[in-house]
Amino acid sequence: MPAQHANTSDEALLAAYRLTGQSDYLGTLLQRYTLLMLGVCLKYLKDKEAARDAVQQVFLKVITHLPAGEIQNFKGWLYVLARNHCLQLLRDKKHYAGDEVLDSLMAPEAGHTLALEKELTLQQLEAALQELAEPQQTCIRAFYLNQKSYQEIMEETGYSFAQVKSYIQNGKRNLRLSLLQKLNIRP
Amino acid sequence: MSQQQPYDLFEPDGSSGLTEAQMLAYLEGRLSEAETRRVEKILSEEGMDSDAAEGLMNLPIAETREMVNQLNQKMQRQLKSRRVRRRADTQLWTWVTVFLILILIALGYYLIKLIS
Repeated sequence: MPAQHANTSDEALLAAYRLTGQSDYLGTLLQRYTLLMLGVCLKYLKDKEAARDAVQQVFLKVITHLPAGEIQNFKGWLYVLARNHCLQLLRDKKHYAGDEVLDSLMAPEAGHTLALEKELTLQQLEAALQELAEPQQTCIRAFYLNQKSYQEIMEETGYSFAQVKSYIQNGKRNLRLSLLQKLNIRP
Repeated sequence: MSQQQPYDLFEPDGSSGLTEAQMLAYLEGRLSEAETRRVEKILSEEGMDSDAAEGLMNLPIAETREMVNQLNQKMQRQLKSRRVRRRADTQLWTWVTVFLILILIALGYYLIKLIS
């Protein structure tokens, strides 16, 4: 990555590319996310050659069909583009995909954090925690209450990295929904 | 692929979430306890970083670096070829426009001659 652009924001790089047409700006911007895109494609396609091809195809899409409209969050936009591309490939080629594909399609969580912080009591939190499924409860307690790392949780429970991550994410989501319900706030 | 030293891993780089260097350091287990905690809090949120970590977890780091390098090189070539093609397209359209203007001038001259 060219050193002169290292601290430039995504949005500034995109604006500079649109203004000047100089591909260096777009190259720097895309290069910032190559690793992450490869990881996303690997997660969904579960095959490194397919993932490599998918990243190349997404790059090509961006290079040739960058929308003229404003992109407020380039990373988020690129993530959706890469993920949708992979899901389309899975639909087209009937690749096997696990339940996490469906999980990842769930809508973003509603932002009721402030209300929760104000009204939440420890008893309600404990009650909500106990309602969680056992693996989610174990992972949430270990990560947040006991400050354990993913590696430590994996060693203690025998879960894989993906399982730990998924139990924490799903546990958090369920915990939030449960707390909102207890506080009579519609999610 | 850029190689950064651990001490500047968490300096802002203009992008949000994890950078390439942070993700690689995490996957290689090169981070301190506090830095690992910071990364894993980001991974506990749904999104690109979290999905990417899950995907990269089972690929050997050396292979990951190699694939990223190849992808970057190919992307730079695509960008360059598009730039060359765009320049060639622009030149073609310039000549077509000049040619059409000359035809119009010639036609105009011929019509004026015909009328007078």
